[in-house]
Amino acid sequence: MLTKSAGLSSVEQISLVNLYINRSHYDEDRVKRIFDHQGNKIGIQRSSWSTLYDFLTSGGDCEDFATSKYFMLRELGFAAQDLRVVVTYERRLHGYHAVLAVQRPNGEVWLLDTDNRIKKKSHRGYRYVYAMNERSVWDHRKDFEGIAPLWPSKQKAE
Amino acid sequence: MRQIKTLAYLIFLTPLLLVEAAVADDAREGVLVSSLTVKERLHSIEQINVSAEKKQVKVEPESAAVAALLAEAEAIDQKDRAQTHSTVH
Repeated sequence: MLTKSAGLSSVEQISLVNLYINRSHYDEDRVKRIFDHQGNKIGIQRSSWSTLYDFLTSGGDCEDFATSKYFMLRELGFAAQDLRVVVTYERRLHGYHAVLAVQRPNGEVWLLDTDNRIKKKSHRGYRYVYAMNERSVWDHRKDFEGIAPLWPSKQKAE
Repeated sequence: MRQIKTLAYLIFLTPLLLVEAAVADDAREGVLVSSLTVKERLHSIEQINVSAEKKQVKVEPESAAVAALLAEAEAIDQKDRAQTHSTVH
């Protein structure tokens, strides 16, 4: 499918990747206890971020959907600086959610969600917590006076 | 004397005010300003229960070409499921 979609426009590729990945099986993570080599519990892991292969074979939850879309778009030639997996808090869902953010050439930021929608103009309801790509992790927590833009205007080119 | 004092304030305080404003601007924009290292941020992310599920809505593919590729992918998946089913039984 990746080979056949290479000839599509970037808008078509985004649509295809979003709908294709969203067909996958949704399966919530289980909380894992982390132990050291002596068997002492040293922490817990509430989210398990699957590899692309694990996700395509077994399914996953929203962060796995977002990271899978990230890697598929990277394979299609999208630049790392234009893609971010974003962890958000959604008051309506009373929980944390993850989406893929794509920065378009005209500066618009599109959010690819698991409900099949692509939010282009309004990102109302999404409160960014962290954003990441293969290069870095951005901290967007509310220490920074509310919703900060994912790509500030001065940081378009990395 | 007053003019000298005013000038002194301008010369010494203005750079500090500019630096403070730049840091505040970065903080407001959420740009790489965090007391956590990248590793700590990643660890922090793993502690968040990111699992809120959303109900899917029907969305039309962007074009006929996209619809055709999705249909092809669905056909392949159905064939795989049928083969797995016949192998098991």
